Amino acid sequence: MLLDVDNIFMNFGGIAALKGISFSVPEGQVVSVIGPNGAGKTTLFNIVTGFQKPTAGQVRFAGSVVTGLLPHRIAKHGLIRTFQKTEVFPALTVMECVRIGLLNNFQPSLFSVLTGKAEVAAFVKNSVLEVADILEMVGLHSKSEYLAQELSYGEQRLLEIAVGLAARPRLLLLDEPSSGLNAEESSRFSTLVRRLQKQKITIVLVEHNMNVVMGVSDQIVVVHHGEKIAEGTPEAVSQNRDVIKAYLGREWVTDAVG
Amino acid sequence: MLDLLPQFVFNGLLIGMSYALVAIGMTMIFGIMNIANFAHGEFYMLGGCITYFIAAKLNAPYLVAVPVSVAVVTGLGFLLERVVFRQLRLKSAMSSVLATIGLGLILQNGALIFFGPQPQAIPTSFSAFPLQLGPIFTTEARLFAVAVTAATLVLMYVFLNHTLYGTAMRATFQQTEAAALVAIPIDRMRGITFALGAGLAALGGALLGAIFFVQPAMGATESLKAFIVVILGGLGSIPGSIVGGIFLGVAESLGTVVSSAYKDAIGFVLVIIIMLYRPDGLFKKS
Amino acid sequence: MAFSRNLDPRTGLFLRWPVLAAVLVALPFIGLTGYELHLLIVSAIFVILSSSLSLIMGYGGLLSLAHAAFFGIGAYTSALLFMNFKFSMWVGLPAAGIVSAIAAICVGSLFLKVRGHRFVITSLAFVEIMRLIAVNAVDLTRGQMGLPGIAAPVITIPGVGTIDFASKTAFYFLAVGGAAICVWTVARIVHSPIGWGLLALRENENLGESVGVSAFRHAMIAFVVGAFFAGIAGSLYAHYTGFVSPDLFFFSYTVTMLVMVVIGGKATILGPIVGAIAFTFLPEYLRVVAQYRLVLVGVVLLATVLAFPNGIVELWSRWLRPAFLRLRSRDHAA
Ligand SMILES: Nc1ncnc2c1ncn2[C@@H]1O[C@H](COP(=O)(O)OP(=O)(O)OP(=O)(O)O)[C@@H](O)[C@H]1O
Ligand SMILES: [Mg+2]
Repeated sequence: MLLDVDNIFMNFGGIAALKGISFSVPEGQVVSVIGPNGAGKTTLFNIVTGFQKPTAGQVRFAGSVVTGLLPHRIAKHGLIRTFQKTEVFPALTVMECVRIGLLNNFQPSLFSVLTGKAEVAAFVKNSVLEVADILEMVGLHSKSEYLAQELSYGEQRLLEIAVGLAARPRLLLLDEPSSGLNAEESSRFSTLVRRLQKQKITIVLVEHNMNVVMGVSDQIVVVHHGEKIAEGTPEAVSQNRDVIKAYLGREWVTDAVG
Repeated sequence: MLDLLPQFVFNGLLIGMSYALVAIGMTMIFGIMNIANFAHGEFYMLGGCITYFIAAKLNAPYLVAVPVSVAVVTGLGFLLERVVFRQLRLKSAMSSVLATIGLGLILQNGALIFFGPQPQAIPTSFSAFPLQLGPIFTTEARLFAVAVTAATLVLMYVFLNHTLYGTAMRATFQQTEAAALVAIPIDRMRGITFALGAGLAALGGALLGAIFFVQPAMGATESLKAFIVVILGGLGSIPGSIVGGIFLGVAESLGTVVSSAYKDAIGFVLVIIIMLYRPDGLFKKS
Repeated sequence: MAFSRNLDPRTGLFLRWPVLAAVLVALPFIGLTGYELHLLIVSAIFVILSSSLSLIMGYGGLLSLAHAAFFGIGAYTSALLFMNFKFSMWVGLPAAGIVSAIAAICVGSLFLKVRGHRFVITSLAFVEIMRLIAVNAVDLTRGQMGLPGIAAPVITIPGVGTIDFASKTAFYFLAVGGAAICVWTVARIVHSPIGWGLLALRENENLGESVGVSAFRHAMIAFVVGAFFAGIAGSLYAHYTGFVSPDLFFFSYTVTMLVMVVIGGKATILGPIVGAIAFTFLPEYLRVVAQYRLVLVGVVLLATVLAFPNGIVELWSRWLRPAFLRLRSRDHAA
């Protein structure tokens, strides 16, 4: 297993946001975490990527325990996430934004920068090509000189994924990546996920858009009130009684199951 | 030594209450607008200098000069909120701090041009003769300052807790979005809060100016003191500012007894510790 | 590398090194008055301060009010080494930079964990504490009386002769050399991967962390390099003026540096240089309006923050340069 989430508890003051969640993500698969609003999905992501410390439980990535590490340390393991509320570097150009993601692979010391070590120059030189490749892949190559804040909302979401890709993820956690995307952008996103899958990038997806979830997932984990209530293939999960009950009244479930 | 204690406590109380007046405004502005106002001490300075101007140059009685100068500075505060601070609301801490530093330069050096650099005494009709109250020696001016400040602090308390405006103001303070939902006019609340904060600081300057001296440079020191107080009391907390102000005033006054060369540094060390480890202030249970 | 030719891609201002170097070398010999030379030396010292501050606040996005503290620490280090051990500036200058940098490592490991107002206020409290120490540690610093009589260095080069840096012309080269090294270092850093990390810290710390950019590491690099050069500036100042006092820690020094950086242009290489020179020379030539000077500075600072967050250099790159280019292309067409 690439990622093991082991019995995670999270309390905010009196509120128990996560009550003993466990699941595993095999290498190369797309696993979706779904659940109603407030189920605890984002909290789970924050814990896995080190932005919050769990009250109890453990996260293991590729065999090593990463619980309690700072986010940038966890990122170095190849565990990269995007945010539910779109995050970019607003005043930087698209190209500069993506370039920052590359720092996950190489960070020169102050000494080697000041002495002009060849490896630094080589990294800077290669970064141009690498950024161009990534922008090509997400479809933002024509916008590389735009400021991030000038992009449309959908483009900013893609840019955030591009920044994550530059960090060369082994596992990419995407928090509602297609929310707010129009139909065209959302299908472009699905294609992107499949391409990433081909490149052996493991993906954990939090998503409300069931068309996307059912279309790309190998496994689905259903979270409700901080607990895992079901887990399995898209077909199995969509017929699970507890899942249907948890989502009762939400049309898209019947649509998707339909 | 011990018999002098009440005297030192009284002196500390006097200074501390003036710190509180300045700090209340600063903390309210932080709470309601998320702006650390580096220019706030200048309202204190202006309160003192304008009172001096009215009393000394226009020969008006001190008791007239005080309310007039407070009114002028309150108006100025209202205006500045409109013209400057409203634009800073959504900006970063960096922009707002830089802007208030700029504003402080304008106010302080503007006052320097207008009033000149010399320390001046505000003329009053109070007798300079010392009064004895039990173990404490004081003067009419000091008693007046303590009485007015105490009354103002009580009024502030009543205003915030028992009037509609006050409640609305506190609501805006604690939760801007929720306040907007219950139709509190946020912009107007900000204007009023800012004006009120400026006026309170001006009152402090007008009262203390009659006891010590007034001069354009005094605002900057006052800003620093108010910062310490605001941070001791917890950024955004009004009761914290009052307690913090009196605490600092009395501590400084007693500090002169113990006479440590570094007594002023203690306040700043506390500020650093609180900012790093207890951002809600000294008095709040964590 | 690209930046050796083009200092600042954002402003589009090309500074050709050989031309600039030639101008700087020629300046003291074109018949400037001693006073003008003095202003140039002061400008150069301020260029060190503003460029290094811009690394911290412009690129890293950390509003540090503590820069004057490191300036003062450097000045006192140099002065004390000279007074107590007769160490000349050749020892004092590097020592000042190193002591300031070490102080920044100590302070930074605490302060750089907080951001926004908490960092601003902490840094302000730190500079006040340093001032109070300078005032009160009378045995060491002589308190308010300050430390006078810090001499400029002398160097003897075999075959060439002896250069006494007490001469303004000689000290000019020292100060400009220091400024050049500082600007070069800052430019080198901001155009390197470390500079990308600094921008990540300024623009969106969480997003940066999520892709492996340690906010703390980058903040620390900027803070320590900045403090190092502030210390160097302090040492130059001490040996140039011959006198240090607790006034070096005054808030007004911090404000001067901030004004130079902000009005010049925060996240640019050229901005702080222009700012430092302008705010050293202009006040001297605006004697007529001397008493309105600081009011004007306040107005300009406020207006810059509200209307031109990127300073006057941006005024050039966004409006004047395009207008200039338009004009020129029209000339060609005609
Ligand atoms: N920092 C916090 N402090 C207090 N409570 C929090 C905090 N973060 C999350 N919560 C609470 O924890 C629960 C889970 O929130 P979370 O954001 O993880 O849900 P989610 O599944 O991502 O929901 P959504 O689909 O709306 O994004 C919610 O009840 C939320 O109010
Ligand atoms: Mg969520």
